[in-house]
Amino acid sequence: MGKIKSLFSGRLTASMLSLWSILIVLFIITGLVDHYFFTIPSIGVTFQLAVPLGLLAAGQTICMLTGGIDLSIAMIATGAAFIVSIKSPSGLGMAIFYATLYCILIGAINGLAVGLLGMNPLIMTLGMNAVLIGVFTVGITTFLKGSSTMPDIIIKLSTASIIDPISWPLVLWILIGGFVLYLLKQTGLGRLIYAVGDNAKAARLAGIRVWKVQLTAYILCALLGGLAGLMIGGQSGAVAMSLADSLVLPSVAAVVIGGTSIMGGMGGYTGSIMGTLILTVLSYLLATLNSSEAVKQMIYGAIVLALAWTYSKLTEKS
Amino acid sequence: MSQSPILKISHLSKSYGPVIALRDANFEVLPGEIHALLGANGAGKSTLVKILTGVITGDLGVIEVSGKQITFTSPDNARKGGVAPVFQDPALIPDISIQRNLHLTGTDKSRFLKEILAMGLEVDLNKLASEIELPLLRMIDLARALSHDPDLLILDEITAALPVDMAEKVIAIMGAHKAKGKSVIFISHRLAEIEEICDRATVLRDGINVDTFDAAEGSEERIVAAMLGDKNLSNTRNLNRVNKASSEVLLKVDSLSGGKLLKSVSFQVHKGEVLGVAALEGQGQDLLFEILAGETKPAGGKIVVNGKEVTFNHPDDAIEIGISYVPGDRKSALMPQRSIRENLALTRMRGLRNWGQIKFKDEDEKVDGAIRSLEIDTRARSQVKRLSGGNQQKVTIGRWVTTGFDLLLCFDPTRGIDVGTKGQIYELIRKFADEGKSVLLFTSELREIALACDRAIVLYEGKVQANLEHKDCDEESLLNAAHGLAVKK
Amino acid sequence: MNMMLVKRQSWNIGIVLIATILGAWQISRLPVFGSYEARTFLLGILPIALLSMGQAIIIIGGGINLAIGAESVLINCLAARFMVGKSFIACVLLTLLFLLVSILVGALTGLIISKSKIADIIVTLATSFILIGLAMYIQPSPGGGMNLTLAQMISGKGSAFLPPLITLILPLVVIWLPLYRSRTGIAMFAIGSNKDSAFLSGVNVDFTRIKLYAVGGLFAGISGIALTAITLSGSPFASISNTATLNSVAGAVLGGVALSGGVGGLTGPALAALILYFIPTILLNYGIDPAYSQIITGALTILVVLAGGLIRNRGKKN
Repeated sequence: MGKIKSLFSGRLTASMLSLWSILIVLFIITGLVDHYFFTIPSIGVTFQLAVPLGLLAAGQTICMLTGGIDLSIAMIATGAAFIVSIKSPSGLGMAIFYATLYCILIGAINGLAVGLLGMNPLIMTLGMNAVLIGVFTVGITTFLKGSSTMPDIIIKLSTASIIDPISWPLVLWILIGGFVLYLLKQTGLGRLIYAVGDNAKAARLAGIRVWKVQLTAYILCALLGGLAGLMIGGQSGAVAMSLADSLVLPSVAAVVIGGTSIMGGMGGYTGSIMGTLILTVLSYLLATLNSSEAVKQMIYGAIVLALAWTYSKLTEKS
Repeated sequence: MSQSPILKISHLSKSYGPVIALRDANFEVLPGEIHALLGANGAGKSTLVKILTGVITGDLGVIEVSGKQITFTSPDNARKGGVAPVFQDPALIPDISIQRNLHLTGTDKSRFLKEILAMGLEVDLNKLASEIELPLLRMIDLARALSHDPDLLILDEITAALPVDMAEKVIAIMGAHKAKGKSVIFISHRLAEIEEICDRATVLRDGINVDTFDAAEGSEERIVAAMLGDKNLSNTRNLNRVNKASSEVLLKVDSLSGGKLLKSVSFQVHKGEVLGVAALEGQGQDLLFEILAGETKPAGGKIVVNGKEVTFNHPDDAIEIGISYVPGDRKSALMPQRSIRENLALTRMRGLRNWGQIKFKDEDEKVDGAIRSLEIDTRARSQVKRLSGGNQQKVTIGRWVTTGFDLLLCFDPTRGIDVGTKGQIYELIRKFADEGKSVLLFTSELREIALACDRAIVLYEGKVQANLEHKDCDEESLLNAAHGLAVKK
Repeated sequence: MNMMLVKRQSWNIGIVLIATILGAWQISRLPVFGSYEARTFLLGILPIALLSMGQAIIIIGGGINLAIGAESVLINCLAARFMVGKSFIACVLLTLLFLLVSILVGALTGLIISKSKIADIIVTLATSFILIGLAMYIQPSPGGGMNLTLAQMISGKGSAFLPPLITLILPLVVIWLPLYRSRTGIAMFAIGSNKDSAFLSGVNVDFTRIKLYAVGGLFAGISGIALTAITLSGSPFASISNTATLNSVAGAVLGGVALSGGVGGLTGPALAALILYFIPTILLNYGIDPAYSQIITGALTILVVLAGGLIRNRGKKN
């Protein structure tokens, strides 16, 4: 009886509408500047490029809904890609297994520190990122020596097109994105993620073991980050230390633009998907404008700020 | 008295969204007068004080100080205008020293030390505010306010939970301030203090001033009558109902202690019984409820449920054996940005086995049932922060209706709630008892004990001062016991 | 009274002890330790120490600035671009002008945070893009310079260790000390400690926040000028600014500034920069990969925040 509809409020759809209009306007402007953009293959490529950011944003959304943030996601992604490329000679299954183990381990450390020890998530994950950079910098010359190319199947999964504009990565994103949406809207865990972010004390008084929810959120975030890392690795063919660096801040930005509050409890993955697409089209536009990297950065930052500001005003009113 | 008033408020009103806090307040303070401001919780006292001290601005109405119309835009502004407040929670910055706190407000140090000396106190100016005990901190805040030589001093519940000697000092200071021809607005729930020191009293109810009179000896009845106003409340829930409580003991608390305030509390709750808890502020009642809810660990003593001794490590442990908690502050019970449904169904998600697919059909049933039986207004269902206080409180209770419980711990559930909803909540509590469930009910409004409870205990200084049967639960006895006096038989 | 002082200063005393031990260790490894080596030390820590101080001020006031590294890089690039080949007098005037710019950039950041009511993290994430973009626009590739006389006045020459020492200490004495004693400075501690109490004490919270970010910006600006004087060039790299921001947070936290705001000073962060500098140098001496220092820094930051949080929690419960 309208139970799914009731998950959206009137205000949420209003802001979703504004996200759609921003995306469409950006889309049209980009198409006008670069006519090639409107072709089917180009749209396919745009989607394909959006996938890693979309997956990182999915993890970030889950974390931020609980009132946290994960800035170690760069090294989680890069680390997972490293592990897969190095372990791939001993079989893809083993490689994926080790990478998964790695993600769960890092996610669990983050989650336990935040959930049980009450660490500030920003510092925890920044610190974790520094530690991981150190570990991998040392590792690639010692215990993690080996191949730095991604296995073919992962390259295929992250780049190959099925029928333009549908590609394997897009299919993967639809599957995983669908799962994240389902998780957040239709499951008990999803409810708890929102509840913990909205009011952790109240959740505790209602009998919820808050730390378990936070632990799960950080593990899920790490797993999604790891998957994104494999996609980025697959798309660039080889791994490097700075693989996912440039996507960390955009992953936070995509979530914020999409209307998820950094204080937690408000928002959802639908908005983050929109945020991801907006940022991807924006990058494309900035690239085609032939502008320098400097101008790109400035416009990028200004637009993220403007969108976040607009959104906060929009929600403040009602 | 034909003097021109130092403060004159006319037709002041203020609303927060749909909630009207002040409707039409009119109020005068004369020079050299100690004026009591009274009212039940939610009557608009705190809103009025906030407007007077520049914390918020009113929507409509006029404030005149010494005949000049003004609007205070900030606390600093108000202080410069001669109005200085002292709140129950001292407005000193916790992490910096007293000296720096004084500097922050531009307070003269030697003047401040003189005031402190006059109080017979000693203060180490180098101590951080957070290192000082609350009572002394309040006195420091008061001395700081006095250093500015305000024409109008506003004391908001400053004597609440203050030790007797300190409270006496406050009374003496008010007298001295009055002797200088300056005025004081005094807010207190201790009626004896008001009779002792105040010249006049104004009572607020539902955002309107309903009565102003000389606060002479014996005006207590008039105060209470004006505060309560609506006589219907007591008539609808008269006292001749049947006590269905069984003799079976559900909860037995044995010399429970914890924190600084809770010394040693023992009592029993029977099945199907509503046990009232009465106490003035700060007698350890908060902690008692938190311990029983599994939120805080006790320092000592035993909790026995259905004959078995229990220890709680987490509220979930208490909920598992049937003890549910409705905290006094709705902010710590609700997810403000989530819907009524999610708030009501939250406790259903306890435990890993409920983390999967939500059973929407079952949830619909339970949630709709709770909404119906509690008569929750669902017009603003998408976010509970947009509900009125009464509806929010119903949601916090309704949560436990959807999950079920044996013992409900209700901490001041009617604080700041309109009279109609109050009646509904008490009716609901009676209904729980009729169904064989037990309720432990703390209320800050003593007369409500008689309306909703079968028995009552009164806490004083962290101990059970009195154990009263229903027939003895009149306000006078409760009040006497709450002040540590013997109950007259 | 004296015990109280010792207790309150215990963190700083600890930091001094650790820095001294590490320093002694490092010095013992050197064949000679003279003023030349002392100057090398000072040049190694000068930019990051100043930046940590700037971050510390902002965290004390209840904020956090993730664009502080970008701000320093921007001033570095501005200085290097416009001071190259200029006379001493011109360079001095330009220095003053650019410090003014850094104050304005900080104030603007504070203004945006106050007006938009968006979380500090989000606003400064976005401004970090804009500022780095600006820096790249001004100085597209590494280069530029500064009048040598001025540079030597700031950073010294050969074994003249006094100039960098003065550059480090002067801002503490000239900016921080008077500020700490003034009502504005107290107001900064106040809004970080408890916004409501601060407001009730008559503090204009929004205006104080703007001043807070302005002072933080000034320290970032001084750090940028110092960097220019040391390297005699401007380096417009996001990676530099990100690392600098990270280290500034680590420095502030290690230096005893509580993330919850209201507690701390600037001497601690300056000394903490010394520790952060010694760790990699000592590792390098022993032939250990300096990447380990990243692990140690990250882990140290986490542990310090964790310990600080646990101590505070215990204090609350008692």
